[in-house]
Amino acid sequence: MTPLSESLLHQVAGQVLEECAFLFTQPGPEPEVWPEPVTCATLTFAGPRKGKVELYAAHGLAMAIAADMLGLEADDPEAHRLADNSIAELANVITGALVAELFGTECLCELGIPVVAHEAPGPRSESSFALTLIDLEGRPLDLRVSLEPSL
Amino acid sequence: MLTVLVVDDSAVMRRMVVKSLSVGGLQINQVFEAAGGQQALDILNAQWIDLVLCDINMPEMNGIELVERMTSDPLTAKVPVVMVTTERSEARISRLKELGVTGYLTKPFRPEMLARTVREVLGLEAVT
Repeated sequence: MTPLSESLLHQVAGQVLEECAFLFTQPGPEPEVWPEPVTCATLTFAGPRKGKVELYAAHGLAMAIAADMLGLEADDPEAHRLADNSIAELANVITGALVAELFGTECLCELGIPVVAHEAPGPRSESSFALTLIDLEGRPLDLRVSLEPSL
Repeated sequence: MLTVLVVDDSAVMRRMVVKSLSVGGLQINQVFEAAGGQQALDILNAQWIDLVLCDINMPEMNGIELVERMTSDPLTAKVPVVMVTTERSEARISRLKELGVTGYLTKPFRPEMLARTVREVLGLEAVT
């Protein structure tokens, strides 16, 4: 198993964000305050180890991501309607790529269905890996991955 | 001109797949969308479909179950399928090959990758 690390999270999430949403990001500081309504997509996985991926984005960035994924203007009503779904799909794609890096492709790893909520990230847990990515306009995404202890 | 069915529980991904087919230079006559396996089977039983593009990880009926149902029905057994999925497990890919699925593309993908996979599965000439 490849060890989970912030650099692995950045490598995987950065590639997915670029290829799916043309979003170029760099690791940055965790925001002290999330000023807007925040979309959180959570996805579980169960392979050689079980775990959970959470992806947080403010609604304005979620709308911009939906617009980029679909080739729409940022203020298109369809981008507003599909903002949550775009974060859910990004969480899904990031998780699929991440578990392949962590566990390889020879073993089965069941992915859950993304669940969307509207809540800002709470305090980071010492038992999870977390990474804040900042896009070129300074907007943050927070990615958190927790692994259950191995048996 | 192709009539395609895109099966994915994510509306965003269904739209991305349709857009990618067009960007990739494929001539699409009509697109049907299904958010799950049962809806896909209903469409397949009611419409002529040249190609199914299908996710694996979906609630209620996943993509592998959908393909199993398709291959057990003479009406849909020969419809070509391309899986477009986050799943990379060799066991799943092997199972899909057993079921006759010849196209497999992992997300994230570029439009040209999807178009190339579709052309290979359908035996279409590449656009130069």
